[in-house]
Amino acid sequence: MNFDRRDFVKGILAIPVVGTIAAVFASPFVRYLKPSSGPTATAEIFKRPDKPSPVKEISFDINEFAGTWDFKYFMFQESNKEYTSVGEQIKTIPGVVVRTPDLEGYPNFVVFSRVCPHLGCVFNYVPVEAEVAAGYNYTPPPGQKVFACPCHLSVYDPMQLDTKGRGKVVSGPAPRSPFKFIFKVEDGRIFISSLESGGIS
Amino acid sequence: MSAEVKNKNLVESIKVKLPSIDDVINKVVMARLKNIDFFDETYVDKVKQNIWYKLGPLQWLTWIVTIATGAFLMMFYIPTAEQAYSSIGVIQESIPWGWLVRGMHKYGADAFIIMCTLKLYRQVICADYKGKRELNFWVCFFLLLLGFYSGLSGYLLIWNQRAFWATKVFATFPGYMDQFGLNLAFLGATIVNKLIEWGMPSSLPSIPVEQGGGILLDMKLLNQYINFNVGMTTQQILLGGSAIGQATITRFYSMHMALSTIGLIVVELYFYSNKKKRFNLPWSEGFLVIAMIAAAAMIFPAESGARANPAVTPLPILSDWYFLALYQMYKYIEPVLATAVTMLIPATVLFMPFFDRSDETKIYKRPVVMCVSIMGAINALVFSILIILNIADINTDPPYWVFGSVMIVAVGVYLSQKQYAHIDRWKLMFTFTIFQLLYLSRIHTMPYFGLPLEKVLGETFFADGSWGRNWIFYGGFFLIMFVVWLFENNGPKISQESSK
Repeated sequence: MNFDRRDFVKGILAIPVVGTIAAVFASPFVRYLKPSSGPTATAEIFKRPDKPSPVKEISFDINEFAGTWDFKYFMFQESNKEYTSVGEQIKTIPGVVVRTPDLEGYPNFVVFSRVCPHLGCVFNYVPVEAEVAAGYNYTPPPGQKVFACPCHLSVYDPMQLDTKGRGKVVSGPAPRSPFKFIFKVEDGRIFISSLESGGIS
Repeated sequence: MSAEVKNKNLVESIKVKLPSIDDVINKVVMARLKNIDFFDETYVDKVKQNIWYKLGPLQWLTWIVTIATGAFLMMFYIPTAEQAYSSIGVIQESIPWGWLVRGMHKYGADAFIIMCTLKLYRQVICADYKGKRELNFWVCFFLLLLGFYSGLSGYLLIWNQRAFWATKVFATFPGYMDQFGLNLAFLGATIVNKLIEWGMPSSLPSIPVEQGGGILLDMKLLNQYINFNVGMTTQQILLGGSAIGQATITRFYSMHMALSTIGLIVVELYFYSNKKKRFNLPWSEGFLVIAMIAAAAMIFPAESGARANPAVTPLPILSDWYFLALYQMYKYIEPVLATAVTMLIPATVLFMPFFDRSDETKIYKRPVVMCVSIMGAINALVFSILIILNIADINTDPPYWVFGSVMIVAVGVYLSQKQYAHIDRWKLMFTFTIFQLLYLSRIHTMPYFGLPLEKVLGETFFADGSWGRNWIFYGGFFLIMFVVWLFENNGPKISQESSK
């Protein structure tokens, strides 16, 4: 194998040609790889008959949370759909409602998405302090209830604030407090309507 | 001799001959392509003398075992979210010899990764990459990366809890690449703010002094210019959506096989063109290794775990054994930095042969390379042990392992200094100062993304002495490689001088 001046000039001349072809082919290829962001034009026979159920607002009776630190897990269907090779897909986000003690300027509830803002695992509400100390590498002060993620051991305290609101990270690598659901309390019920924008799913 | 001729000779003698580009290509690229070696097939004699040169052929053998057993698994595996886990169960329980084929596929792949890792270490220790053979090191490294990617995509196909959550973590961390640019912008703003504080005139829009002062960063505008959504696009391309679903299984299934198939075609074309033996060991040894893989499959049957549940993350959750160290690192350090380190480790390994340019082949004559390799191995082992035994304390551990790693490299630098006469003392002092800062920088959790600027500057760069710790840490890894170049290629050796 020998590479001489002639080969080099040939190679230089090939660059614009190859570059154009690469550009022409690369862009649709990347587009092919990226999941589609809108409804795809599919013939009727290919469409799936069973559509996912429409987005529903979730509500709970306040009396279910009579005591402080009572909690409930729920699954929330996101309003934006995804279009995949098997049809439409609506993401479900695991969430949690917790009744908390009074915190000035905030309602008595926290409604968090349970998707960890660090790397997307599902974190838990862990009311037992011994369990946090044993499993999550953090010993909370007495009486402090926390949320904790099994993957990388981030711990969130709903009674402390960071710039994104309640749920300051008290241990572990998470970059911010959990994503919050937007909710309102009316007529003895708590209505959960949507999720704070951004974030990992 | 006439004056003209004299002048001409003078001109000739002082004319600097620049290397032509085709010369460079011939010397740099072609010379290395000529020396290429995939599975130690060019070390026919060395295989007989040195047992570690058997790693190459065994690497090929374990790869082929994995491909062959994989082909059989394909006949029964169903790549859908609903049926994947069940079809694994059918292979394991109902199909005759299914458990053996699946076990050999798993342990064959594990063996391939072990062979690749050991061969990389052998290439470093025996300096196989010297004498224009750096590409051989790259070949082995890319095979290791192929093993890692195939391992990751392979265990998602089982669709159990471990697979699901490991894939979640693997697919989420590239998203933090989008924040590299913003981090740099914050660093720039910090410097500009300091300059303004020290009296630099500035027409930049700024925050009132009572609110903290400093220049104003428009986050939305910054995002628009700095953030090209590389991370988000990578994530979506990996997963085929914004969450793990059917599209992810299909994609992983195709790539799991495509990469090995393409690799196999390249390797076969290579062996066809140069007529070398693929496996230059006696076949009895090959069968011994295959028997060992089969024995492993019989004694420790491949596990299936619990079916994947997107709503529940189980508490002790581990990845496959070769990612355990990385997994532990993600617990220790903040995600943007962890993402950068994850990308820097392969980059460092990739360019290491080009930094190690001395003629020495003995490993103890290249102490910095030796100590960096030892540091990498010890870190990987210790992190894996910590996560398996679950005895790490993520809040107090980091200073110990950062200091430990730095000290191991420092020993290498010290030994290197003893070997060479010509050392700039101030360079050494500078290096150790940086290492000391690295130690002091205390990597710990500090949530700061998306904060208002004055908070960012206050909390990240100047709070409790941890200013700029990110950037020192980023720099540290490059610095280690720089030190290799600095101390092992410059200056005459002591032994040469004393002999004169």
